[in-house]
Amino acid sequence: MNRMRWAACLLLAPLVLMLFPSGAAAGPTYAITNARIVPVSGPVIEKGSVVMRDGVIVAVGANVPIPADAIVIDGTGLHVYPGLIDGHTNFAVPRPRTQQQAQATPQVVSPFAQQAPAVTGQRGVFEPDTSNDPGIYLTPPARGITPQMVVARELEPGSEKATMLGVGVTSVLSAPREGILRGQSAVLNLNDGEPAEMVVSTPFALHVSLAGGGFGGGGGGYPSAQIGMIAAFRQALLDAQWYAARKAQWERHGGKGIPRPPYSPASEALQDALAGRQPVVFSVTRANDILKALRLANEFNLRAIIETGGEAWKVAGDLKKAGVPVIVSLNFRPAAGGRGGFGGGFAREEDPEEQRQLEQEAVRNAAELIKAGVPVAFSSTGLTNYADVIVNARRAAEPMGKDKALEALTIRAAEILGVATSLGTIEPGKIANLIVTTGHPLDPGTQLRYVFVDGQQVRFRAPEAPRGPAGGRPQPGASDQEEVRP
Amino acid sequence: MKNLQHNLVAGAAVLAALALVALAPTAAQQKSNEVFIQNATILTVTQGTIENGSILIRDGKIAAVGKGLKAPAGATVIDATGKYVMPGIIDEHSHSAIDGGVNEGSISVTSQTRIIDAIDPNNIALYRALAGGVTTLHLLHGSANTIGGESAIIRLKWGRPREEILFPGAGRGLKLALGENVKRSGATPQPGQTRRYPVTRLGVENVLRESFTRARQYMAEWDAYGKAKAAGQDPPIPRRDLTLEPLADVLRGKVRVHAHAYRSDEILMLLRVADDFGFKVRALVHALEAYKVAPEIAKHGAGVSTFADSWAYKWEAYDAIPYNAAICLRKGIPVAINSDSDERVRRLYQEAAKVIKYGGISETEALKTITLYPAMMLDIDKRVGSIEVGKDADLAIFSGHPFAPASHVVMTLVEGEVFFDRAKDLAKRAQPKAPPSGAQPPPVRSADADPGKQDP
Repeated sequence: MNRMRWAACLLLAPLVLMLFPSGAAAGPTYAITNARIVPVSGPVIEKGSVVMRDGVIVAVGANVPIPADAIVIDGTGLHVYPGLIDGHTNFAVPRPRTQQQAQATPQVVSPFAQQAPAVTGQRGVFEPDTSNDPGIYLTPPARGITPQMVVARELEPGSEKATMLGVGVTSVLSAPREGILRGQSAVLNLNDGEPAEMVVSTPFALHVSLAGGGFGGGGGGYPSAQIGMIAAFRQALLDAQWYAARKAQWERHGGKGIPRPPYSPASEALQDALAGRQPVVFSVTRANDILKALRLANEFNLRAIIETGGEAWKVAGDLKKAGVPVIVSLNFRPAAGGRGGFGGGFAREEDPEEQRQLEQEAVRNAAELIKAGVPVAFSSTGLTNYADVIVNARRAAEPMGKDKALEALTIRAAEILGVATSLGTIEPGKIANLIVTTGHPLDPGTQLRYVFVDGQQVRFRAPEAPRGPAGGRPQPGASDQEEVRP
Repeated sequence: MKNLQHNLVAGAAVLAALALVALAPTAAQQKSNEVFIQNATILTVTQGTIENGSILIRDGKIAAVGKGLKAPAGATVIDATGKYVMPGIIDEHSHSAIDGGVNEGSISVTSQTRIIDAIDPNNIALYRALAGGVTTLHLLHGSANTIGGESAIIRLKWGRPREEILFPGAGRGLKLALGENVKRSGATPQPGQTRRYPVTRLGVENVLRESFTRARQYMAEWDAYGKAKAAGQDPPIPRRDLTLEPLADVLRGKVRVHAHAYRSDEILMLLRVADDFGFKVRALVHALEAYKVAPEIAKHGAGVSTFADSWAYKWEAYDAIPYNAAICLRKGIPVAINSDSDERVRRLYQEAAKVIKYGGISETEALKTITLYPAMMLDIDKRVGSIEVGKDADLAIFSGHPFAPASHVVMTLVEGEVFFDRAKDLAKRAQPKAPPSGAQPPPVRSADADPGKQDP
């Protein structure tokens, strides 16, 4: 009996889903009327309406008919902007859980003894793929080579979403957290749906780090120095090319007569990047590291994007020449400590004057890049307080003008993330990600009134007023939020 | 009193200005591709010493050397009256300007790692080396691994893009290391760190033999593939292995071997391994016990790149003697005095002078230990290492004889271009610091490497 009931439930389940799709796009139709609309892609509509249905903007203009079933929001005195895009986050990407296990008792590692790969089988844990590496005896498998990790399959959204929405961010790039060839990112909408429903685009890019790799502490394991990381990167890409060549050869032979190449998820995962079909995001900050990334991209014909890019302005000419965009981190605080000398081990005492100058340079970075013709988006990478996205975007906007900075937060980000047809502006047909504000998002004192993601109103948590003497300016409080009920 | 101070300051400024006029090329002159150094004592290294001589540089190369030369019209003239010119110093063993760690210390065979991938051309250590008359550095991995990786040779065009500082046409080199550092005697593994093979000198030899055996198999695999391809077959494509490739190229004689080694027994071990596998060791680095096995080293044809008088800083350095370089030189071994340090690199000329004190080596031979001999070890002696017509104009101008204790470098040229000018440097230091706010940030900011204590 029980079993029968289960079976019935299973049969009914898809039906239930069809009747009550929890899909983000489902829900009422909205119309925002009498508002000042800033589409970013075109002229401002001083007094107009936006209509959203099924998650899509269906009409924008001074004189558009309002559907009878629409929930109407009177936008008198309010401004409508495209939702902002955070060009690089680790939002909803679970932390790998092997770190503690890896720090168990020290073992003697012989370069000639084959290592049994650790068995974990946990979600969020990605072991290196060594199936096509006969050199395993001489060089143990490199850690952090997990290009087959696809963020969209691992999403675990947390409560930080409301805070991100609270500064007007409606879409993010979610990138893998650590490793060298870290995995593949996804563009997500911060809607209230299931993780899968948040995905706008996957896999977007392959993510690479050459500095530190994000391994906590760096100790114990190949590779740990930058020269090792670059070597491991290079070997992984060569292996993928070899894999493809062997596969093609096997097919050329009609699948017989010669040994077939062993299946390699890592090599499979690298094919799109190697063919130029998928961009490769290099997480690098220092100018010299950016040049290293450009050289590696050139070596393997990769479509590079630079992320973090704190010193990118110093190599703007090289970036422009290579046609490489930069996702500039809005964390302007320079990394603590000086650069190491011999062996990277000698930290220098901090020089406050130098730190201040580094911060000034970082603030000007985006403006210098844009001036040089390098496409720029912004990201929250490295920020500890998410509200600083707006605070720092305002600072970055000073040398370039707030409209250029707004473009970087919307249309340029959408272009760089390959979703410009769907996101980044207010145009009919685009995904209805909108923010309704009391002014320009980068003007001090502007308050957020409504946030729409995929055409639906979402709850947000407005940033708290900054503490301390510097933060005298009134900030929108949580009570400003107005929810319109159908 | 105050007036006197003013006068002193003014006097110093005038002196500095005079020095600038004397040494700095003017803007108009810079357009010419000719530089003329006149009235110097020239230590050619290969062709004796020329008193009151001149050097004509054209397009970065030495076009003429000798007495009675006339400066061509439009040439930049550097008056070196009372000064000494020697070939730019070449440091056979340096770890300067390498980003993100000089050792991939996780495993003991890391031939796949390349120094060229991590060079920082803006590193301040390079400028400091220029201030010591150095124009070429051999950048190597540290000594944590039996097989460290591929080294790089750079010329000190500090602040230029990497492409311009890489020594043009330089061949490939591989760093090996033996002994204490490799076997990690006494190292306590940190939590999360793995203990690593090898932990004895026997193990080091085993790693070398195992690695080169694999390299031989790898080579054979590719050779067989090439043959089958040439015969019109379509055999399975072998995998490129970046660890074995450089080792195979050592076996093919395409890559120089520079081996960090201290004790005589391990030096002999390495020479035997090399003989067994049919490759040559180009340079034994540090080699503080080389004097014990100098005939064997000479027979193999290896050079020795050593310190002048550093010893007893670790167990395997206890049998070192300062006569090491002299004994090796007398056996016909090319000897280089290296720095292994961002600090010592600024005074290699004083280190070379010690070879005269200990062992009575001739002045010219002592000069060769920081010029021609390291150039030979690096296969760049056709271009640098001595002052000869046709060679690159990599030159160091000293205030007096480089071996005189009070002498210092006044100017360093790389390919005829001035990259260090003491007068300019001093004048710049006298200027007040630029106001930080609102000022355009400098075009390049260099990483400030600490000249910390370094383990050779």
